[in-house]
Amino acid sequence: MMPDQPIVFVVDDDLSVREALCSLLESVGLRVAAFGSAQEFLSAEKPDAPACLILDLNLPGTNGLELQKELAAQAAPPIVFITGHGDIPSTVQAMKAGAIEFLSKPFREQDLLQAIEAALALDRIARTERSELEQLQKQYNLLTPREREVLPFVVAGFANKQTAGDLGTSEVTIGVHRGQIMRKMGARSLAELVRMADRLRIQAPGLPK
Amino acid sequence: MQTGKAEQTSPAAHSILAALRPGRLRIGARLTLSFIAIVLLMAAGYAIALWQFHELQLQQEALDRATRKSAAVLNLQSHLFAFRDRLEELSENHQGEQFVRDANLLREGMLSDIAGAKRALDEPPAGRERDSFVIVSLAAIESAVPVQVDAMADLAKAGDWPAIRLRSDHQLRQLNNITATLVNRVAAEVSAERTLVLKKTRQAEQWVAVSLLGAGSLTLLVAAALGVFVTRSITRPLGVLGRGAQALARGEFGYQVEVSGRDELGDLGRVFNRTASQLRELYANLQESEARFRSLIEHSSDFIFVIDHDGTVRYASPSSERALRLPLHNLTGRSIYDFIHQDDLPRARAALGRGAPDTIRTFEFRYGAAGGEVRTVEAVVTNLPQSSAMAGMVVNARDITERQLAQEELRRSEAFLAEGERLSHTGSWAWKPCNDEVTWSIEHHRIFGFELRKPSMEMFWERVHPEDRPRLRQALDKAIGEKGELELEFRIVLPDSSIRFVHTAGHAVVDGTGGLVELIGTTMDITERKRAEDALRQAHAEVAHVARAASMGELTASIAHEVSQPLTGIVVNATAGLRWLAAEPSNLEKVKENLERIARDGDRAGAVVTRIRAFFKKSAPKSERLDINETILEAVSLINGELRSKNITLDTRLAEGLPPVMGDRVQLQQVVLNLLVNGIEAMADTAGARILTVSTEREGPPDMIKVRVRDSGPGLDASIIRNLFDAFYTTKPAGMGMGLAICRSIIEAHRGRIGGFSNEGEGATFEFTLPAGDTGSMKLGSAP
Repeated sequence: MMPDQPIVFVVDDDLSVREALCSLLESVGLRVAAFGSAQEFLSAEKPDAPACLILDLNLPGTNGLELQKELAAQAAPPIVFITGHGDIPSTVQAMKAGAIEFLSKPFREQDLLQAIEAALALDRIARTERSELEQLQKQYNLLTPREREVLPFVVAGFANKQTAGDLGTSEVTIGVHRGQIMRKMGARSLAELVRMADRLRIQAPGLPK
Repeated sequence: MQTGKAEQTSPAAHSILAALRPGRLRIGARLTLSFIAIVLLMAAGYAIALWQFHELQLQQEALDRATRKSAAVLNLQSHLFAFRDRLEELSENHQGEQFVRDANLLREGMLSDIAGAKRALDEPPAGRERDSFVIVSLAAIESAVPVQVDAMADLAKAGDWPAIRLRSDHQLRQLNNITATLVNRVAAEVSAERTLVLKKTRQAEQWVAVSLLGAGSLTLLVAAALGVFVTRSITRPLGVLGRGAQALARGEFGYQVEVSGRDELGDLGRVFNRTASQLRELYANLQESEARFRSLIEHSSDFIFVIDHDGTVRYASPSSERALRLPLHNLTGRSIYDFIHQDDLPRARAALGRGAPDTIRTFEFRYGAAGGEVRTVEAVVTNLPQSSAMAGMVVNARDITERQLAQEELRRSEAFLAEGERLSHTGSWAWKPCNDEVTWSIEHHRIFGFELRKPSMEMFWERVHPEDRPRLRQALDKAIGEKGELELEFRIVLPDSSIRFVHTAGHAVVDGTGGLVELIGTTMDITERKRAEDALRQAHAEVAHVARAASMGELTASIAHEVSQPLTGIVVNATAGLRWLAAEPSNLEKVKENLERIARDGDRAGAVVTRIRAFFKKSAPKSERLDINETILEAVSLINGELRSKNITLDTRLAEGLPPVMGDRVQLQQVVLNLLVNGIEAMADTAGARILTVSTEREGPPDMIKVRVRDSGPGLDASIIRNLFDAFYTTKPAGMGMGLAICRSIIEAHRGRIGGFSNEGEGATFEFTLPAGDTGSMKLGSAP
């Protein structure tokens, strides 16, 4: 199989549903990996390919929402929830946490397939973004501690003079740091540096005393 | 003193004195002896005196005689002078005749005088010889006088006066001389005699004086001595007796006097001592008897009064004032009517009024006791007016307040029993199989539709439903045979053909030797109860149904999940199958798989629906043989979704090889479901592991199957465990409080038990037991 051929993970404790889903997804040419519980899914080896997770909300042990929370910290595939009796709070929670779709059983195959398609597309974008962010992070990691200190002042639009006052150094030194930061981060303009910092979730410094 | 005297005296006197000694002689004899001694002494004195008086009298007579002698002689002399003078006178007058007459007269006189003198001198003079001259002279005179006179008379007649004179001078003078000598002699004799007499008289007088004085003083002395002696001999024992009498008077009945002698006082002393000891004995007896009676009276629960006819209490036994609890300190002197309840006064007056002596009357009265309490007394009144000790009415009273209360209580409890029997439709019966003697209470007659009359077993069997007779006879025979208990329900047919259900319970009564005396028991008309039970059972079933429906409502989501899972499988398999079919080339193998799964999932969904329909179906409970594990798993299948959605792990630990149970599948599943749902709800806020454990195990004997549902929630609050299974008791904000109450009624209808408790560690456990085996009967449907 191609390494980048998308894969659909199915996590449902109900054998009927699991088997049926596998059969359906295979019939549309998708790669399927089915698990009976969250634990099975978490411990399984997963290929580096665009993926999507069809997750049953009510699982024994770790349930769907908990698994979603757990996966949020990782580069996990987008989730399509399916449930036998979805209630509104669970739906809201799942959607807020970034679920692609929330389908109540029994669902229409088109709804499921569309959701899977959207999820895979989203995962492809996410995978790209994730690699860009990894690049940015690598560049950021090149900065000296002092430069990381100076960076928030720069992206917050502080003048060199003010920054120097706040950090207790000279305007010239700040200017040198600024040049190094721009170079190491590979930013062609201040606006680009600001976007980078934003993606890196660098916070603006606190207000001067 | 007497003895001392006695010692000095002669043996005779000694014996007399000894006899006189105090005590030896009786007082009468003693006094008589004393008086005799005094009288003898006095008599001796008087005898001496009398003798002396007699002597004096003799002297006096001698004196008189001398005097008479002297007088006779003098008289003679004077008459002789007078004779001479007369004769001279007559001679001078010369009156012859006269002279003769007178001379004769004179002669007669002279002769009489001489005779007198002779008589006077006849007795010899005392103390001396008769002077013979006197006799001679007198004889001379006597013979001379008549001679002279006659001579002179003759002379006178003759008138010879001078002769006469001469004669007279001569002759008569001589006579005179003789006479004078005679006089002198006699005078001398008399004088001597008188002197002797006087001497003797003086002697006698002296004797009299001495004897009288001596006798008198001796008598006095002896009398005084005897008096002192006798008096002492009487007064001393008398004093002793007197002291004894005083001691007796003081009540010293033990006093005994010192007794000596055999006299009256000795007798008296002995009698006294005997009397005293008899008195002592009598007194002791009396005291004992008095103490006994006092004790009887004081400790008697009866109170005794003696009252006058006007009702004044003259005596009240000590127990009465205490026991009567009268608010009075002293009853004596008060009127009994003062404290008798005024309603009872007429009765009391009638009973205490005058009546024939020795009549006994009884009456009851009430009175106000201390503390305002009204107490009742039963009094027996005896009229004893003649009895010196009583002289009134003796009231023997007894507080019967408690007895009356007890009697009232008994009457009331009997009334209660009858009323209770009537209200509870329970009749009592007794049957002696030995003689077929039957006793029924009023209610028993009523239940069996009989008028009150002497019951019999024939009457009983007549009413028993023919179909129930063998069963009843068997139960009765068993109770008689085993001398045991009897309990069964049967039907009776009343005269109006209506059928009543009765429940009878009884037991055998045995005597000391273990022989059967009788069967006694009660029979209750339970027709209404049975109807109510049927209605209740109906209501229970309906409530259970409603509760089931409600719990189905609660489980809608879960059930929907259970249905939607296979439905999802069906739908997805169907679409997949279609796609495999539409593929080029068609993958029929896959299609077959899809179709097989569709069939399987369809069955699965159908099973869920069937189960749900059974839950919703309102059907009469029915008893069937059940595999309890299968029954539980079916119930569990309805909540799988719920378990997943609440993130609860279900741990099923079902024992293998369990015997079947008899019961209603749906109702038992309802209980299991209820307990499972409760467990799920209990763990809603549990942060840790949420584990619901369902287990089955076998227990016994008796052979039971225990089903446990255990959660890992917060457990049960101790305060709610008691009420857990009560209806309308709930700790849930929206709960009805019917769930566990229905569970209990279902389990108890299956003759099982249900309970709940907190676990040692965390969570709570609910468990119920069911009789194992297919013989366990169920109280689900109406009894035939």
